[in-house]
Amino acid sequence: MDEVAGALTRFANNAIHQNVAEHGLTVSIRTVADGRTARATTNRLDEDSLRAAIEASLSLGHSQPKDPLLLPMPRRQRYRRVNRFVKRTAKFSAEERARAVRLVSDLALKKGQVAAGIYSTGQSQSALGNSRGLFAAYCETHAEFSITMQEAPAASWAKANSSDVRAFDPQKLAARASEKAHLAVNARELAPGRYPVILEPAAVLDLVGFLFYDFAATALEDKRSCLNERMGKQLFGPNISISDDVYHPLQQGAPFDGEGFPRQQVLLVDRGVPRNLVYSRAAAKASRKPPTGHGFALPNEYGEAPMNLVFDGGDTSIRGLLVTRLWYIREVDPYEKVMTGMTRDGLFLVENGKVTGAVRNFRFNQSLIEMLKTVELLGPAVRATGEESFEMVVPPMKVCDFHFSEVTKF
Amino acid sequence: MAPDHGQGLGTFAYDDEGVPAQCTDIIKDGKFRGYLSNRETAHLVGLDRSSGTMRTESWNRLPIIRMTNVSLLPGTWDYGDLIADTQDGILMETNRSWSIDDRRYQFQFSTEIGWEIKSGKKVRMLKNPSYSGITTEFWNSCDAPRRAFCMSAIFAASLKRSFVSPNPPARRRQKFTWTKSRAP
Repeated sequence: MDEVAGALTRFANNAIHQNVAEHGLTVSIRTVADGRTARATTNRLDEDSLRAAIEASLSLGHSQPKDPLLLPMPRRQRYRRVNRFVKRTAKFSAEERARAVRLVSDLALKKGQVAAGIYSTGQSQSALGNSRGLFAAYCETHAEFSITMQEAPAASWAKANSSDVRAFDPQKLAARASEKAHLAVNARELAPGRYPVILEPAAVLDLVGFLFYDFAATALEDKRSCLNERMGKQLFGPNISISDDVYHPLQQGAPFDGEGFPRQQVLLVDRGVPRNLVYSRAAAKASRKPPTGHGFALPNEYGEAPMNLVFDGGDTSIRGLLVTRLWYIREVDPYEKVMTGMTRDGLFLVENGKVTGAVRNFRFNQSLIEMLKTVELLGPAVRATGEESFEMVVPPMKVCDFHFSEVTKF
Repeated sequence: MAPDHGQGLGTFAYDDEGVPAQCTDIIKDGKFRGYLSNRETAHLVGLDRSSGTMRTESWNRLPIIRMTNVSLLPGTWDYGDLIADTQDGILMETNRSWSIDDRRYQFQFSTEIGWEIKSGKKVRMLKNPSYSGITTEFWNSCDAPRRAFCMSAIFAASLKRSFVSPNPPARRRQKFTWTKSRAP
């Protein structure tokens, strides 16, 4: 059962153009009968509708083939407590969002710029139970602010989210985007080639997010992971360590998976060596490993995935070609993990430790595996949010040899 | 937008403002003709009425202006003649990844399979060739549009669950950048 109550304020051209709120509750019912399983979901909570959903699930299940690998539902489990419900966020009003947007719009007007973005706040809760006595419940609040600041022909961007609306300051985010947009107005063109880059956390997030479904045991079993034949080998640089940790203070999400199994902390990469995978109950049984509590709700075709990634960071102050964020990232070669995409919203040349000017955006074609072998420096890890991947705790990175293959016109 | 060109994956009778579906020229004879619009913005782009492209993803989402069926109209060349007329080129089929910048200039698309064309014949097979370029330069280099339609449907990532139907006949372009992922 999932309940979401959220509100969204959208602004563009320095004015609010939408303010919407939504409150919904869905009940999703999975049935198992004679080795067959299916699921039906409804948002009607009267008894007749709930009974109809059960009947729909049973009927769908009747049409499924028997699944010889289907496990009995788990019994009662014990969970670590996490507290991510912040009353201040839950009570944040439309007027408060509007006041914040007014301040950033005033900044844009003062600077001769145009602001657009969103400010959302809300809360959610979920409960999962089964007929074998398992019961799990979780609630959290969420707040997010994203802004694009334009100063023709340039633009820049900033974004943050947290369960605590006080964890970020929309005005500071707007000021940062404003400064970068102004700096990016006179962008010069550089020739494509290999450059040392500093990737801000959002840029790191949206790139490495394409790597993590490869840590699913089912993906390796299906031979569709870039980690096939590579587990236990020195694949990345020794300064790269990554874990999946839903209990990290900068993370969000429930401490149980889609079957109600408790999420474990898993060390995925240890000093550059992929060490461990995540396992749903079914994948664990097939591999004779303990389940890690990362399974998706059944039925599904993907098995499991790590959803609370945490990179170890460093404490270095970093210098190089500064990348604000990346855009439209797509996979070119799934085994070598070659990705393509664009830089966006601010690409700056850093010389002798100072930002000396903006440059035109590049297309990159870069293997993530090669990139993570050539990370020269790591900054402090922060909670990052982007557009291509779910949130993670990642550091800014200086990468020695990043491949920019082509340049665009702005 | 081509409801009178037959059924496409994005075909409908009325948009989510109740405006009848229409066929709107976006590019005609190589010239930009106009924008997609809704009832609120039509007058801003000099139109007397909405082009009927206001669409919502779901009952609980606000509609926005989105493309429906985007079609390139066919030319006069047969597919075999396109190949036979090409002295030195690459034929690529089945796109498998798409990436373009946020102003829709610089793009890169990867494909599943390709063939070198030498003196009008398909010769060596290529694995996962990619092609890239600048949109305006790319379309300006088209010199031989194919006669017949190729009906195809993709789910545009930016539209999530909405449907569109791009209908591009095969075309030849004189010069653009392609990269070979690896030879088979």
